[in-house]
Order: sequence, then C-alpha cells, then structure tokens
Amino acid sequence: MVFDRRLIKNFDMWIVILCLILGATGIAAIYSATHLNTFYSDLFLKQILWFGAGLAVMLLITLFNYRILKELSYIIYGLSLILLLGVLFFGKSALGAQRWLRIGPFSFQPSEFAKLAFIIVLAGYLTPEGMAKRILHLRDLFVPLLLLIPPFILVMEQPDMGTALVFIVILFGMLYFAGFKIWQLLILIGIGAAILPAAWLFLRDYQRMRILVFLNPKMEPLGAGYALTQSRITIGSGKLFGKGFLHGTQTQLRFLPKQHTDFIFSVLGEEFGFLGAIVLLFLFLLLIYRSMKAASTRDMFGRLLVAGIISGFAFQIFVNIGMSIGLVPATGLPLPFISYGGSSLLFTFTGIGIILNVRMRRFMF
Amino acid sequence: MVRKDKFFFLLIFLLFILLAGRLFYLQILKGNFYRECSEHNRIQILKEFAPRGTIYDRSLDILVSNRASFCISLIPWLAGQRVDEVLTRLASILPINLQEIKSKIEAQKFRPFQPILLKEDASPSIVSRLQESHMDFPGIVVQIKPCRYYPHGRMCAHILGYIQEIQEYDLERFEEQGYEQGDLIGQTGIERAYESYLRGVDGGTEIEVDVLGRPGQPPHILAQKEPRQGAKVVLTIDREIQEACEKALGNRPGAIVVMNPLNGEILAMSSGPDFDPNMFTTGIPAQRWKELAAHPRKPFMNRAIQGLYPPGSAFKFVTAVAALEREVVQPQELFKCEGKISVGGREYKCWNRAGHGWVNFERAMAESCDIYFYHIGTMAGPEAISEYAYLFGFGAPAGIDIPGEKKGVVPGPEWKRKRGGKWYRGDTFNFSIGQGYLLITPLQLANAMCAFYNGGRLYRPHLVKEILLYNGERKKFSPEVIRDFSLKSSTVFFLENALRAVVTRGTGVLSNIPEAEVFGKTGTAQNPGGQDHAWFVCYARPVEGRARKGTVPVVVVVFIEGGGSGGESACPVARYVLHKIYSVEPAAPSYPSGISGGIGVRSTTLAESLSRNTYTETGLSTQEETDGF
Repeated sequence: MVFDRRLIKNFDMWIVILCLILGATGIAAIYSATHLNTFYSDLFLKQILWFGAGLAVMLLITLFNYRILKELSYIIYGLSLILLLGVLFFGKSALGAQRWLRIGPFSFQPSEFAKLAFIIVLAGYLTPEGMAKRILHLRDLFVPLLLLIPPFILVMEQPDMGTALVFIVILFGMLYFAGFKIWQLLILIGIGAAILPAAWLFLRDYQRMRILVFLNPKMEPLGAGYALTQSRITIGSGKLFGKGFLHGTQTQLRFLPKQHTDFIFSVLGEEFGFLGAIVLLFLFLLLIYRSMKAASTRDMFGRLLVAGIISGFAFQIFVNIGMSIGLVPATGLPLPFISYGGSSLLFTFTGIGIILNVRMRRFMF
Repeated sequence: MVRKDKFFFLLIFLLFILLAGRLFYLQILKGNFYRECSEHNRIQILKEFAPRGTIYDRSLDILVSNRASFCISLIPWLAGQRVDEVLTRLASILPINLQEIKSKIEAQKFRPFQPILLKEDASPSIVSRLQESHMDFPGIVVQIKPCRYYPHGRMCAHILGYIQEIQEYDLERFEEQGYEQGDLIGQTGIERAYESYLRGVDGGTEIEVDVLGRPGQPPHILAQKEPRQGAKVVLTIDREIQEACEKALGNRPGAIVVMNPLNGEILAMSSGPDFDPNMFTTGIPAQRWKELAAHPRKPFMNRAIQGLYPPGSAFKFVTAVAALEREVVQPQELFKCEGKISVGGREYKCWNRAGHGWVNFERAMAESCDIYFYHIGTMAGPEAISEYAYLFGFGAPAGIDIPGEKKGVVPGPEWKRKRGGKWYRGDTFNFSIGQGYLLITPLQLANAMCAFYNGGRLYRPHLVKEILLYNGERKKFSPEVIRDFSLKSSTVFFLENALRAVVTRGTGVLSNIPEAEVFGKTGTAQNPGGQDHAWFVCYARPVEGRARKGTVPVVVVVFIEGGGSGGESACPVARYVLHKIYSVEPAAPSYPSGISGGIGVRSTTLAESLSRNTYTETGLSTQEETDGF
C-alpha cells in the first residue's frame, strides 16, 4: 500500500469513538443482566474479549483498499452459502433452530457473515461494470432477487425469520441507492405482499405463534406473551431517570428471559430511564449519520457497500428496540454493539470497518 | 449529502422518532403505571414440569416412563426467624450441607419466596416424617416432580440414552425453544434424537407477588396452565429379543444387532458393557461421572454404532459379491490353497496353515479360505471391492435415528494415495479378507447383510416405529430406501448357497438351529492391540411348521471385542438369540459341551437377574463393580 496522507486525514475518529461508547454500554448492560446469575456471570468478560477482537478486526480492515472486495465478491458469497449449508447439515441431528457452527472452542453464526457477503456481492453486481446500462428497468431486479434467494431460504430454514428479513431490507436499501426508482421498488413490495399469505404456510409453528401472540399477548400468558408484557413493564418502570445501574428490580430479579441477548434494551430502559434510552438512540443515529458521509464517495461500489451496511444496521436497531417496547413482533434479532454475542459484535465491527475504509478512500478516484 | 442520501437518512430518522415516541409513552406518560406494576404487582411463575413422553417397545411394553419424585425445598420467607433452627433439625434426619444452603439463602435474599432445593428424590419415609411433624418445620415444603424412570435398568441403555440437566453449550443452542437453566434434556440415544417430541410442554401458575416476592393471602392467580406430557414414542425394538441379546452378550465388551431386513427396523441392539440410565435422573456427582466417562471399558460407548473394528472374514461376502458381479470368477473354478502364498518377497498365509487344497467358491466361503479370497480379490481389483463396500453402506454412517454414529473407513488405491501412500498387492489381499485399513461398525455389517438379503436394496436402519402425539395424531415411520443396486440373480443364488454351507458344514455350524434356515459368515479379525475380535453375521428364515408362528426373517450380527474365534464364540451367541426368536419352547438351548465355559454366558439365577435390575446409588450393580463392569 502506498502511503497517502489523505488516508489518515479522512479516517473518521468520530465513528471509532461512537463504537467505543456503544460497546462499553453493551458490556455494562450485560454485566447488569448477568452478574447475579452464577451460570452466566462471566459473559461480560467474554463480551470484552469479543469487543477487543472486533476493534482489531475493524482497524485491520481499514488497512487494505476495500475495492479488493469486489474482485472477491462471488468467492465470499459462495463461502457464505457453504457455511449456511454447513449449519443446516450439522444442525440436522439437533432439534429446531440451529444457527451456530462450532469451530474449536468458538461457536460462530454464519448468518452474520452471510449478511455482509450478500451486501458485497450485490454491491459488486450493481456497479456499472456489472450493469451494462444506466437506465434501470424492472427486469434489472431479476439478478438481485436471484442473489437474495439462496441465503434467504437457508437462513429461513434455520429457522431465523428476523435475520431473513434483514436480508430483504438490505436488498431494498441497496436497490434504492443503485438508482432504482421508488415506484419500481413499490411494485416489488406489492408482489411480495401478494405472495405473503403463501409465506404463512412456510412459517414454523413457533413463528406463527409469535405473530399471533404479538397481536394478542393474552393468548399465551406464560410464554411469549409473558416476555412482551414483562418487557413493557421493565422499560416503562424506568420512567425519566431510571432506577440506576444494577438497581433495576425487574432486571435483577430476572423477570425477563434472554435479558442479555434479545431483551438487552429493557435492561438499559429500566436502569437508565427515558433519558438513557434517548441518549442511546441518539448515539446510534449519530453513528448512522457519520457513516452516511462515507456514502458520498464517487465510487458506486463503495457507496452501495455503505448503503447496505447501514440499512441492515438501522433495521436491526429498529426491530430489536421495537420488539422490547411492543412496536413489532418478537423476531430475536440482536441489538448491534449491545446484545451479548461474539459473531454479532465481530461482524458489526467488520461492517463499520468497511464503512471507515470507504470513507478514507472516498476522494481517491 | 445528495438528495437521495438525505431522503434515506430522513427515513431512518423518522423510524427513530417512532421509537422515541413509544418510549415517551411507556416511560413518561405511563411511567407511573408501570413503576407501580413493577413494585406492587410483580408476577412470578411457579413452574410445573411436564412429564416426558413414555417410550415403548414394539408391542407397547413400557421401556421408559416417569415416577413421582419428592423434592424437599425451603422457602426462607416462610421459615422467617426460625430458619437456622429448622435447618439444624432437618440436618438430623437428612444429609444436607448447611454451609451450602446458607450461602444460597444469602444469594437470593431479595427473593425469599423462591424455594431453595434441599434434597431431590427424597425417600417416602423422610417425606412422611416431615409431613407428620410439619409444625416443627416451617418453611419446608415437599413438591412432587416427575422423574425419569427406566424400569428395566440397564436394558436398552445405549438405545434409550439418558437425560441430564441442560449444559451450557446446549443452552446456547436450545434457548430458542424455551429451554432454561435447570431444565432436563436428552443427552444421547432416543432421549436425545426425539427430545422435541418427548419433552412435552411445562405448565405453571402465574401469581402476583409483592416487592419482596411474597404472594398475597390468598395468592392472586393470574393464569394457570396444565403441563402437557410429551409424545409417546414406540420403538421397533422387541423387548424379548433385546433381553435375549443382552443376556447372551453377558458382561463382555461387544455388540449384537438384530434387524428386520425387509424394512430396516432394528429389533434389538445391545452393546456391552452397559450402564444404568437411572443414575442420571436425579443428578450424578461430577467426580463419579468423570470416572465413568474415562473408564477403560467405555460403558457409555454404543459399540453397535460407535465402535470401529476390522470385520475380518465376515467381510468376505462383500468381496465375493464384487467378484461375482464383475464376473471375474466362476463359482465352480478351483484354486489351490497351500496354506500360504508368496508375493513380492512376502508371505501371506491362510488361517489354515496346512492349506485347504483345491477349493471352489462354496468351499472357500464355508471354510473361509483366505488364499481363495486373495485370488478373487486381486482379480476383481481393490477398486471394485471399494465400490461394493460403499454400495453396501460401509464408509458412511448407516443413518440410524440416534446421534453419534461413526462412518468407518473403506480403503482403496485412491484413498491411500490421498494419504500419501502407495497401494500394494498385499493391501488388496488384506482388504479382500476384511483386514488392513478397513474399519466398520456392527450396525453397518448388519445393514449390509440386509441389503444382500434384499438383492441389493439398502434401507436406512431405524429405531422408531411411530410417535403418538398429544392430539391423537400418529406419526408413522415408513421404510426408507437409501439405494438399490440390484444384484444379479446368479450372484444371489451362488452366495446364498455358500452362506448356507458356512452354517451347515463350515465354520459357522455352531449357529445352526432347526427352526430356521440360517445363512451366515464367521469372522475372526486380527486385532493389533490384543485378542482377536469374534464376528458372526447371518440372516435367517423361519422354517414353516418348526418356527414359532408369526416370526419374520431377521439379520443378526454378533460382535465380541477380543472374543477370539468367530465360529467358536460368536456363533453360539447368535444361535442363542435365533433360538429365542424362532423356538416355540421357552427353555434356552444348552450350549454344545466343551465350549460352554469359553463363551461366558452366565446361567441366570433369580438372584442374579435381581442384581442386574437393582441399582445402587452409582447405578452400577455391585457385581459389575468387582469385575470392572
């Protein structure tokens, strides 16, 4: 790599600082949710290790020019499909949802990798060399949809409806940035909505149950409905200032299942109140805003990478928090930077690393 | 930012405003209400565990059920100031660790209503003593919990598996299905593979508790749900055949597999040494578990599906099929066995050092002449033997519906080249007689013989016949064909005659019974680590008029680890099992005199059968303890 001062100048320290604050918030929330649980009490330490690893990966990724990803895009995409197939294959003897692949002492969630791989392959396809012409027709949607289907179905089979939806949102975000008109995307949504009733047939029983329980929490008071009700009580009881770190009675008495993963936001909502929740939302928004700057690159490939990463990131934040406060059905998506989970953290940092990379090189064409 | 970007960011911004608005509603507008909820109306769930589903054998005899177990717990809040007094008194009738309990009370001082488990599975006498003088034990409660119970103790242990409290690595994976710390989950065998059916749905009571976790008087019940027992699982196992297999194997390391060749159903599958799954149901001390798991006789290994061994001469029928299908040899062609053969300066011997003289196909099979198979194996070529070994299902898991199956090794020139070696003629020799690199499981051998019985149709072996769901639905498991490599009728004809000759006048005579026509092959596999392994593989057809009515053809594989000669130690075991299956008389046949001592089947006295079924706290009956299992 030829040293170029502009690389340093365009390195966005703000993004790194925001990541540090968000990561620390997550570690604190995990500590609060698990420190009284003998079984889980070392999870926050593990999260610290993952956080360190994530930072390192992020910085490592800024070292090479992101355009190499374009050359490798189909290889990365193929690898992600193989890993997803691996999950299905090795998950066969197990029961129900299987999202992890075990590599030595680590378990790894290929669907997190697959999201990035999908973004990379789609960005590669949608850049001018991939698309012969610049005026986009409806038929140009065919290949992007074709690229979506394999990872979408494989993730759906795990079954992980939440992550599968993230793929769709990423697709739409990138198509929009690639230059498709809103009306063209609306037609796509229309077609999707038309076949939605058919999708109901493919949902697992527990997934249907979740949607029904969301619509009527009283249906299953001891199960999913219980979690949603408790989550609302937990967050609502935080009021304006919260009950204070480690003093959330709901959190500490463990009224909620999955407090350190899916329902982590409720811990923050209870202990830091409305103010804390708003600050967190603001930090997320600020991070997205800073990342958008990277999208102003003249390089279409870089621009699409950023668009895809931000779409998935924002959607996950919205769905996770929305689930905790009863705005959307329970889908089991992690809250980026905050929820416990090595793969999620690592690939969030990878995504941010790509954004930094694009931003550093945005004037270099 | 360009207009497009601004619009995109605006959309995200609006979504965030939506979140903020909802948060404002919950935390500010309704904040007082929810704070009230969290302080005065906390909800607590008292879980009621669902009994796991019952497991039956094929004729609906119960193999696994549940029994009531009494759990003694302490509710600190109810004991109040008298907690020390109560615990001291309790310690005089029940071995409890005071130190440990006090630290538990301290750990959950914010939840004094939560019961602390003191003793799981307490004896009825202690329970009745507690209930008689319950005034002296405030805060002590006795709960009834379903507890897994294996009425036959060790029988079918490797098939059924066992259950245990969920471990961390499983919790990570199964949280999605609602598993929590402290839940029980199948660890191996049927308990594992059919966990989602057997588990059932826990019930419970949702009651209102106050800030200290106390319920109101009377408690305000918000919701209640009855637990639902898990589905009933019916196995293909025949309890009587299984019993016969386990008795015949005795305490020796080895395995017996009995299958119905017509559909892949496993009628019996035993592995020795075994264990008593009951020892896991109420928790096993970590130290004891470590000892057992590291025991040199590997009691937890299901040798029928997880043990990899050279098959020795029992493999010769596969070599024979390869040679006959490729038409490299005529059955009546004669080869001369002089007890040894020299190739490339090395001498390869026949097990019969004196030599068999001139042998044709049938005699070579019947007397298991190694030299003959060196010849026809070389003529067919190692690639062809590999190909047929794979077709018969070796080198891949047989696909049985319990976890942990091994796939084994089928060598060949290509296989060896990948590992950096050159394939020699001697390798072909070894391969032809089931020695060398070849490794198989007893189940694979049984399934391969089933495929021959069917003229080349290989079924997936399975253990579950049907599942009866709670709503009355029946989920039946129909036979599944893995592949069909139709064998020539001439191959079937000549090989069947040869397999029959093994039993009527060859190495397998000790397996013969009058009630059925038995076709088999013995194997005595050299074991570099110790004594030879004894094998016998056969299929049997009931003879009308002599065999018990309603019996079906079966395939039987007997494997005895370090058991010596297949013909002498595996055949009598097979004969015992076949007799149990087909004979009309209930009495066991006597073993041919002279070898009865060597085969190690114990005559069962009442006292012994009792000791087999009782279990000590460790789950190992005392007899097994003394002789190492």
